[in-house]
Amino acid sequence: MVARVADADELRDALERAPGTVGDPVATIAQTQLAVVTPEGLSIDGAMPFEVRTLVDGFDTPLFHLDGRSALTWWGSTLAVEHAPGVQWGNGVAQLATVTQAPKPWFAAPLTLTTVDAQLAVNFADRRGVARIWWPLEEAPGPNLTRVHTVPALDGQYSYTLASTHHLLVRLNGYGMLDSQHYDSDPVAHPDQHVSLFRTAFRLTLEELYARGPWTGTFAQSVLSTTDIVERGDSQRHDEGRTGFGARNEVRRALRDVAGLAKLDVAVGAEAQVTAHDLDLAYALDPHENVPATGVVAPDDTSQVYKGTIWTSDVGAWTSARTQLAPNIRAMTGLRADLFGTDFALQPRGSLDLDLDARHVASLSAGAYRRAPTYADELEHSDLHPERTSRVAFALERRPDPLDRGTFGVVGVYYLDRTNLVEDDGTGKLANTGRGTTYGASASAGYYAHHWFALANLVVEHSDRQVTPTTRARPFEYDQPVRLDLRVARFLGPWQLAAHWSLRAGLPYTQVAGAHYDADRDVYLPDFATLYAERFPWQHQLDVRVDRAIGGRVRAYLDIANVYDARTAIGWDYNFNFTERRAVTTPAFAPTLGIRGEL
Amino acid sequence: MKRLVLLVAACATPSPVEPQAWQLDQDRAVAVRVTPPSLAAGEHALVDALIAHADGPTTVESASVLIAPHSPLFTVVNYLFDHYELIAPDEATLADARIQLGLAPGALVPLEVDCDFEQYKFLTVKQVLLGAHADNPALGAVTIAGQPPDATLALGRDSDIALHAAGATIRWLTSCGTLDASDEPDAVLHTGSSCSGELVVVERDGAGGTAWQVWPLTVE
Repeated sequence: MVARVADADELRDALERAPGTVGDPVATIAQTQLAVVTPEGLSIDGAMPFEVRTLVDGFDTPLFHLDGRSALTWWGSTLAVEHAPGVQWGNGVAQLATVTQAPKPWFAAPLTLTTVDAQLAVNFADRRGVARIWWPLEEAPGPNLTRVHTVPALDGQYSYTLASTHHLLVRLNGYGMLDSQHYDSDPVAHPDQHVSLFRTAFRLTLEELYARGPWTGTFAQSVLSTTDIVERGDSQRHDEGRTGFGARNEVRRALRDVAGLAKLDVAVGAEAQVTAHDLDLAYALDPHENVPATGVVAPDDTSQVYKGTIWTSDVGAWTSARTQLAPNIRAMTGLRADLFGTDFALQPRGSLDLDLDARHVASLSAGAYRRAPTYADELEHSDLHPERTSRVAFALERRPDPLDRGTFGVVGVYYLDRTNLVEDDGTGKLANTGRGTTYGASASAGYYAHHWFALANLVVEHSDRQVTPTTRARPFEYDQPVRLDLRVARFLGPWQLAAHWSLRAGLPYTQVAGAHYDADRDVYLPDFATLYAERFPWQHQLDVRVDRAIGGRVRAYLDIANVYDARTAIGWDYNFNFTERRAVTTPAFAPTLGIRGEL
Repeated sequence: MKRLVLLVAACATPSPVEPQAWQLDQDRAVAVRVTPPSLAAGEHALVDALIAHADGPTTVESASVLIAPHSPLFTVVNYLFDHYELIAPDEATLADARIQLGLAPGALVPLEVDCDFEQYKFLTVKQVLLGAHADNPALGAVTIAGQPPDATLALGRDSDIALHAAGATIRWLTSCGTLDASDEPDAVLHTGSSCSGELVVVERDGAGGTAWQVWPLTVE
């Protein structure tokens, strides 16, 4: 697969300053890992974004603000995309995993100010924290609109070491995000035109890490509280509050000279997640991948009405063994069992790594994955079962020379088969009838010398789905067949110059073929042509960034996103009866100035 | 999350895509009327619509095609010589329909009718209620610039004119100037430059009843 950032931590300095991202680690990782960026999050290997878990310290946590920026900082966490998670991870086919960094043994207090945000961090020997505020956008985005951020977007992370001995480390990690946006679609509109959006997410995790001789243990308990409120006019609302508790425990033992094997690491683990979803819904039906939509929701549409609390649970257990079959062959095999409510699922996974020489490794991996149907209105359908995905992948990797660095890269192919996908019959009735296939090839090549860093990533992928096994295959909503990412950075004394260019195929969309008038509701409803038969144009964009170190503790930069102002259509706005449309484009040319100082 | 992002995107649209719902100078169905909108057993009803045109004044058109393809009561739609009529079935048939649709005894039976005007140029859907008689609403009191309107309207240029109509659900439309809050009982007409056209108000009572009024309008 594409070179994982975790494998390239030594390149972190270049990645942290990725052009066009203004320090957003998820934006950077989405670029370098060639994830498909969607309105809902990241799509990886043909998965819907909600199939891609977003983990903070091992537990599911909402990561994104309402405007798509992530509530994470490079300073406070490490981040990686995992395409084929091990058996210790369930309920998803890929994940965006972030781990809050432990405190460093020294004092530091970096302050970053940019034209879009401010971030203050502090580190003591036993604790560290970082808080960020995004500047509110007070100006109206158009002549007929009023947009008011009554509370700026806020996020923060915290880590506190409660106890640290030779064998035991206990620490408390916190994560929080707060968002609030209010709109009036027309300055003289009746109050029932008002739109309010409000979201909070808080995650608190207690970790106990134990190591003694061949034994290691990882134990964690975590609580989550989220609020997600949408109020539109005086009749539509979509309010959800989540309160969850989770515990994860894993014990590993490293064995030597067992059954003819030089090394054998075995692990057993278990986890339990219980979540209460408090729902108060009077809104249009939730969107589903197989149902075409324009994004326009009639203000009187309250097709989905629900008020109550729904409990979901996931109890999982796993065991795995990692061994060295020969000096240059490593194998991992494992089995995971999940009980999603009353659905029981077994998921075997394994991998085989062959060291061809000191810098070249061939890897074969395969596994089964399940996702519990707990997304959006799936919660209201207790008759649904988990979605199933089988994945097999082969990769050939050239690792960087630890001394000389030089060239590195990965080429690989992968195939995923999906069954039991949740499909909507168009009226809000859901059933596990869908199927899907994703296959593709990826290549990544990089060069890292003393004053240069260059990286090129390419994915060629096909992803399709069927509503039922007998219906025709059609493109997946987020099928992006070609994704290319090029970046180069030059280090010149106190200067760092970096550029990034991306090229991506357009996503599919469904043409509006016409509309009919609902005379009682006084609204036009679109009539669609063939599902996802059209594609948006290719997207391309150049970003540049210049960093300048000023002394040893201050750094200033200029980041320019979309230098040549390429605005490609990624969606359509329609008029009231769908006879006219206007392109919604990628963001325009956007310069950002920033300065970072450290006490 | 997708729901949130789509809503944010919709709110952040720089301006509505033209033409807007209040603009009369476009080809569209403005309102569909069934007379009466609720039928007792055996009663007959006619269907017509207020149609707006890009190159001329509004017209009232009879349905060119009517069908009720999604209902067991599809035979309610009848073509009589040169026009369509809806003829409510007898009480026994309505009782059977209530059982099929899971309705309580005596409940009104909804019938969704596809109404096409000008030979499929305007496709509309209208709900008719069967089982008891009800009339279309009488248009509520209307004031324009604080006064009851005359049969024709003459307004000054570049003026903001307060419009008011009493009713459950109101829609204002114009072919002169621009409208704010066009889907509210109290709207504002910005007359703009000299123009000759129409002002329309449509009232819906929430039970299928529809009424409208069209005023010739001159801005000078």
